[in-house]
Amino acid sequence: MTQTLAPHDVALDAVPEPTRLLTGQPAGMPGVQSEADAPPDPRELRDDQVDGQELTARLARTWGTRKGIIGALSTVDHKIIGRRYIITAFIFLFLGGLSAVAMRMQLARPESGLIGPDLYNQLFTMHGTTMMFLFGVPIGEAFAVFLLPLMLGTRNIAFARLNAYSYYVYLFGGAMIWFAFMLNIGPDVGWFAYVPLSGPEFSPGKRVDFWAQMITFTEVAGIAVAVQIVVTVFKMRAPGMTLDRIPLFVWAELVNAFIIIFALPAVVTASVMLIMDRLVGTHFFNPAEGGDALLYQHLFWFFGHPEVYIIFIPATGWVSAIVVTFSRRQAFGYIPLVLSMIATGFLSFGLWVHHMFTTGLPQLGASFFTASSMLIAIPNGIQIFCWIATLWDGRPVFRTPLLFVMGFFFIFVAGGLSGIMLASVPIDAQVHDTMFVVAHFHYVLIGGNVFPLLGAVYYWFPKFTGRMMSERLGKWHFWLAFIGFNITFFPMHITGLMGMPRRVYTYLPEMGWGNLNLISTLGATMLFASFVVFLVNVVVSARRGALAGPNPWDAGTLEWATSSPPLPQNFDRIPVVTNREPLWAHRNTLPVVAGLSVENREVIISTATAGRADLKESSPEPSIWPFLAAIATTVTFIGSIFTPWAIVWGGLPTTITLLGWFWPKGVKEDEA
Amino acid sequence: MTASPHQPLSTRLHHNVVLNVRRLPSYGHGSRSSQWWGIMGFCAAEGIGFVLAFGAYFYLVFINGVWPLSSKPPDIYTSTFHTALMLASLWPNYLARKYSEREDLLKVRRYLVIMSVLGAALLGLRVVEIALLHTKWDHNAYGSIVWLLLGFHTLHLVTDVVNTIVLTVLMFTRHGHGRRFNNVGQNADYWTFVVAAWIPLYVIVYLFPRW
Amino acid sequence: MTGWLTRGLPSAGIYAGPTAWLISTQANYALVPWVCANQIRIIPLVAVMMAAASLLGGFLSWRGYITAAPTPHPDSTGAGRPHRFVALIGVGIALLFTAVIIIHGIAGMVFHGCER
Ligand code: HEM
Repeated sequence: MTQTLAPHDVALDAVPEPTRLLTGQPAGMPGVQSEADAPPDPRELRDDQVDGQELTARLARTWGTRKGIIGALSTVDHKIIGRRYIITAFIFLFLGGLSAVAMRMQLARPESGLIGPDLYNQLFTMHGTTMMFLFGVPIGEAFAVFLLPLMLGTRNIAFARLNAYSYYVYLFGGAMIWFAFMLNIGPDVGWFAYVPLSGPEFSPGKRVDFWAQMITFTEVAGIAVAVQIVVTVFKMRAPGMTLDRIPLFVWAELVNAFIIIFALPAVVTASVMLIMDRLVGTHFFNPAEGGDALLYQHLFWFFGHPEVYIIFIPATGWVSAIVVTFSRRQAFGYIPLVLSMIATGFLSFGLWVHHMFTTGLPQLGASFFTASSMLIAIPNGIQIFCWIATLWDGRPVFRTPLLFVMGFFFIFVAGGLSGIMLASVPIDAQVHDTMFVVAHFHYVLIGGNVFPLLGAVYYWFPKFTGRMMSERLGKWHFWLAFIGFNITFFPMHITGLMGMPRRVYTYLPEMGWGNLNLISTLGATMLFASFVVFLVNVVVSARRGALAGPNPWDAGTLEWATSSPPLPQNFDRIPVVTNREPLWAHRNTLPVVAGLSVENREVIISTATAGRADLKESSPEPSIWPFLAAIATTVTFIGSIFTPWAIVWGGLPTTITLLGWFWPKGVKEDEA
Repeated sequence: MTASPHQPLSTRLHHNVVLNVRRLPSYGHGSRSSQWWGIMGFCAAEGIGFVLAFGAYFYLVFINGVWPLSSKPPDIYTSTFHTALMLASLWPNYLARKYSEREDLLKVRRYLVIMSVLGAALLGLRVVEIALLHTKWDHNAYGSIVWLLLGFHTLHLVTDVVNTIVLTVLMFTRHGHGRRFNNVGQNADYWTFVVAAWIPLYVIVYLFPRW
Repeated sequence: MTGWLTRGLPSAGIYAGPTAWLISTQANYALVPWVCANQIRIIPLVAVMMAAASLLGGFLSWRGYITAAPTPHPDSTGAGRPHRFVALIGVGIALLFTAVIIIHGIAGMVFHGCER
């Protein structure tokens, strides 16, 4: 299952006979003449009739995006939307990071007067909210939007228009809350906005309303993208890509999408209840009228713990991809790796009460959840073991992406250790709500997500832009980030154990926390500098970096089979997959499918398990309607903060835009 | 390793055609189509939404002990009728789906018209039903959760009824062929979900407070 | 029925394990007040039942592994037999969740249920 595969002397994996690659089933029920089975129009050009440059050029026209602003807003190309998604998520990471730097400046010395308590409250709320909702969830999905169709060997993501819509909704939601913050109506109740603090009584004004509404609509967009990911993975794989040939990165994104589908509805329910309590006078969380504040906490943490894994699991995908490519061998333990991802996905839902240990649940009840939180260490351990074994047995090449993966191993394991400390109830009660917790979750979140993410950017940057990033700046970036990170967050463990609470805007000199906090702030400055280096590297390399070519790292998965950056059609012909690392198995000639239309957007729909080609469905043409629908949705949601009637009068334009979106136009789309 | 020597920049891998998909059908019914999987995905997400809302309902019951707090239970007659009609609609819904797979335009039109009328009637009934809840969302936590449940379900009802009506119109235009049959089947599947979500909701909101 | 048992179902473990675990956590969690009030240690019993359910799923997956038709040709990594792959994942998931459920049962033997 995992014998070493030296990329240079592998035998060509045999192509299975065509009967194994096609289902060959007609669409019509027995005895029914279905239009779907009609022979293709002989006038329509198909890719078994043209070849070479001409094929490339014609496909690029069919799948391209029109020029101009309308063209840009109408695009349904997953690469363009994916790129925007990634850039937007990074901008939110930077904004969140800047608010963190501001907080660290304030905490650098005791009784500092830089930032007052009100602004500090808004800062940590904006920081947490941005990092968790506007960066953490979307970044994994953003990479999936760009990379999945390429890795799976298809030409677009499933439901491409919905994809465009989701992106705009996410963008508008995130922009809205940052505008609110700039107008000094940013939320100030912490990223989980516990009631009763966030309820109508203790938080009058519009601040929390913006928060709740932002959650509702960005998370709905998150669910929609997750559905697109699931369908793309299950139904749009290249022929021959059986379940056990799916790249590990894709598995990670698939599991992640499932967690999103099951976890995000909880936070949407919570935020809807919250905003209704605030705006229309419901009593979900009002004990005087039969409501209960703990209901909010339960709903929120039903989402909140899986959220940590929503942030972590895509990172396992990045790590797997990087480790395999740079070890120059197949993943050691493909099955255990997939198994661990699935198990982690399930177990992440069993942990939710663990966040409420200090709320006085009976110990026996709590012990069930402790059991799950301890056991989740097993799949995590298996994963780390498999990665290390892959590196051990391979011939690792230490380029920047792999460096970041190494940083991840170190930081994440350290974070896991402090997590095990937290999982035991007595310690949790001791350090609950201190800087110790802040240190722990930054080790897990930054170690578990941001480091692999930076590695992933270095790894896929050539695919995104066609150019390499600078190795030299990359090494500087890594060491600054790694050292800066530890200097920032390690001392927080100690200040936490010394009793420094989180979410306080200042402290007295007598507490003796001053020096450690100063060190933390210096570390944060270093971390900040590392991101400046990163930005410079990105900007300079995008213009002047060395040309990359299709497969600069000599990697094995399908995204590297196409040019960098890929043309609108992704592949001139859809590949046939015969191996987990197709490009290592087929070094010179790629087995491919022919017979798809050159003039219309056609994609192959395959069967979920065996990956046999079953249908050739059409994929949506560009359209401005998703953008208009996103505007209508945004106006409705923002309006509803000011009057509940907005839902009613905003419903009409939303419906109209949706009709425009779905009503078939012209022959091109109508023709199946 | 950058732009490795054996991989010049312009080289595209040589293509070796091993399969031709010219003759594959251009759409398929049921779980063969990608859309069906999408609908299932959304049903899963929304289904979780319903389950969580049911959970919240019982959580509030558990916290309070007395239920439905100080309110009168909601009127049961309209809602029972509504539920019966919902269940009855499953039959024409099933037929619409069946004939869409047979691509029988006349029958599909017939059952879509029936479904549109039924849907509109159900929406009308729903308005009456909400008027007879005997509580308001801002009355107490019981009122809040009941309104949330009904509101959430009504949103689904409205969506699917509008969708059905649009599809019905579409099937009477020149677009009414081919891939549109597929959409009819998917719309029918979604309606099944809307009904399936209603049954526990009916039991919880209407029967449970009377026990 | 017996035919089904011998032929197995590759994906059984993937559903059975987590479902049993879900029921075990939720049921046991809900039972705690009752256990405290009546001092009847029912939780190990629930756990044993659910562990059995999970194992049954694992067993079906294992049967599915043994009997899976070798659909496409395996490649040099051994991949290309998706049903066997699903079956192996099923066995693994079932075993892992059985372990979690058994720990629940042990917790039920150690605690009285009234500890705060
Ligand atoms: C880039 C460097 C970062 C720095 C210097 C930093 C710093 C901080 C600090 C000082 C706090 C505590 C504020 C307080 O309680 O007084 C905080 C809170 C928090 N951070 Fe970060 N952080 C960084 C990155 C991240 C990332 C990448 C994430 C998530 C992916 C994250 C998530 C959070 C969350 C959720 C909170 C809690 C907010 C709240 O209390 O409501 N942080 N951060």
